[in-house]
Amino acid sequence: METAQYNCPNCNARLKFTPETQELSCEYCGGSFTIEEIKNLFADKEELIEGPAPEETGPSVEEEFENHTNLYQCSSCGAEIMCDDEQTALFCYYCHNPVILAGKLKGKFKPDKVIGFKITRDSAIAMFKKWCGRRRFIPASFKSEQQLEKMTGLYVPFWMANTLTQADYEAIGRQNRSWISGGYSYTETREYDVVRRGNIIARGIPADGESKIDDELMEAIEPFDYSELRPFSMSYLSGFFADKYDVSKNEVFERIRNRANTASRKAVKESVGTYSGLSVRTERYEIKNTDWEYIMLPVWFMTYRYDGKLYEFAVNGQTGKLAGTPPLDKGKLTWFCTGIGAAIAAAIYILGGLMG
Amino acid sequence: MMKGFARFICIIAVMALSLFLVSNLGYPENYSKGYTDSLKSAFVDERNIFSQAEVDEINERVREVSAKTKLNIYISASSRAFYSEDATRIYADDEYDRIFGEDTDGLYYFMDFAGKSDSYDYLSLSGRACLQFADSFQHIVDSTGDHLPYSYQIQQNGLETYKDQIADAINYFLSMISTYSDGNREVNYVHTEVGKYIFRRGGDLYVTYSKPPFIRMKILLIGEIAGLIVGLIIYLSTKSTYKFKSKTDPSLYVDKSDIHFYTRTDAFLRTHTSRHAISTDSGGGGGRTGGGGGHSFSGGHTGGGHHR
Repeated sequence: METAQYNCPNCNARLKFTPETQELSCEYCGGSFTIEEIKNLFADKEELIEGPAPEETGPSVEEEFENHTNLYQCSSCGAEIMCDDEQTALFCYYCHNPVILAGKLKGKFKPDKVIGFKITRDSAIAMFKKWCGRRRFIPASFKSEQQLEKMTGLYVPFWMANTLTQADYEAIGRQNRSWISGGYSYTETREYDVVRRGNIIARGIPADGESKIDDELMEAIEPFDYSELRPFSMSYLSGFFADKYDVSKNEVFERIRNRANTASRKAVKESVGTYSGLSVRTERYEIKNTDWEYIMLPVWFMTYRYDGKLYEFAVNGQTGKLAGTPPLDKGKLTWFCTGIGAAIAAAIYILGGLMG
Repeated sequence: MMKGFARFICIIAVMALSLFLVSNLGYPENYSKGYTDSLKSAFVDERNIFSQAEVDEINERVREVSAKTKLNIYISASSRAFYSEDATRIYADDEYDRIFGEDTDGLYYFMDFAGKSDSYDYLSLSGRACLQFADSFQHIVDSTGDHLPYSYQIQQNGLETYKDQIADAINYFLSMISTYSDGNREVNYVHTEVGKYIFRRGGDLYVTYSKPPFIRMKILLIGEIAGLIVGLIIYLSTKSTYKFKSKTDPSLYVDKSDIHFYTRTDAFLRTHTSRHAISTDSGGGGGRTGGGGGHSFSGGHTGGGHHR
């Protein structure tokens, strides 16, 4: 399978995508090139991902290893690089040059659009440190330099859906009015037949097509600013890791439907407004049409194994929104609480001893 | 899970150990001097109400009760006039200490026959007597006082008139002391106003300046329970902040301009009105306050008085 590398037209060193400038830059001669310039200069490489996807054949037991472990040759140092099925961009383990596995981005695996990284690795680490700073019972090793080295820039494959949802809502709405007169309390209830029928369009609901990453974690770092979506070019991947999808759009549709229904339900509820009580008779939401796009979104990603459990942390590579489950050093917390409890017990004991 | 359980067991063990140490180690210095013999126990007739033979007879009875109860007993038919309860109390306490020694087991009963109106009798307790008569001393003083003549009667008719009544009252007092000196009536401990604690531990009587170990253990237990509850609340509330949060609301993907209702009606159906009578009952109530007398303490003594 073909690999792609972008070399500097000036000095032939490797080019990497730079989040600050949204251009590919050369670390050696300082040259910088826009995506469009790169596309024109390396039209032959971009064509590598045109055409049909490689044929998929069912793996036999003997071919299991070969089917899921692929070997590529680094065009810079000649070393053989091993990677799994999903990886489409990575680094050479020996010379650390970026390698894009263009052959894996062909056909149905070719993303429609991409948002380039805007948050640098240093910024992502600074955000992570700030996030950790507020939590004093995080294990020390979670914040260590060794752990921070694991912060990885990853283009995550996403299915982005535009949905047309038909809403059908019927309810009895009640408005109450109370007053007092002649020693009696009166309550007047006015009932209304509330009907909402219509179409609700949700644009750009994302669902990650990567089975290895927690779906909730990816939902938590939303939203992405889609105004910065650009037609896909492999040059965006240079200097980052990237995966191709391993969860199809059919498989993510249930998640898309749930989220579209939640959004539609909220839109209907907001339109109903000011009733003091509602008895719902009918509430149906049905997706009539879905338009899909396969996109790559930038995520700074880090995992941490602690106490037998895997903790994942992610930063939106475009907006900087971060999410994750902080690991808790239960031992540290236990002794802290014990200290507080012991101080309280000692204070009561001393005060109780002083009092008569 | 196992590590957490081990930590919990460790904390409970430390709590239990601290309770054990507080209740069993570091015993405070014991000032109790106990009771020696009944020879110093006596009745003193400062007003010469009784003949010497009668005084001897009362003295014999006093020493008999003293030997039986193993308490120093001193009864004074006093001619000294004190014009405040405090002065009477201080005199009785000091006289007891002077005669029998501080922190010994016994009592001093001051009968006021100074001739002023009104008279104030006082019972001073020391050592073990504080524990044994903690609940009964006021009853003893009051009921004995009821047997004695009122001060205005003495002023009108003279003290000699009531000689037999006074002798009966002394006998009654001694029988009450004999009855109430039962160890089963003892309270756990007594705390005097000057900060002395009188209590029993393993059958021995203690008079100390620091709290009894079982009281210290109780305070520590309350402190440990409070500390445990506060620690647990901090633990659970902190733990709850280490959870995954912030799911993104998908409604941000729906723009208002993309909501198109082709049917949007709020059609009036009907109205109905309900009526409830407003209750005019009002509640409230008075109260009453009460008050009562009490007794005061001084020195290593407790005690109480009675006005006649």
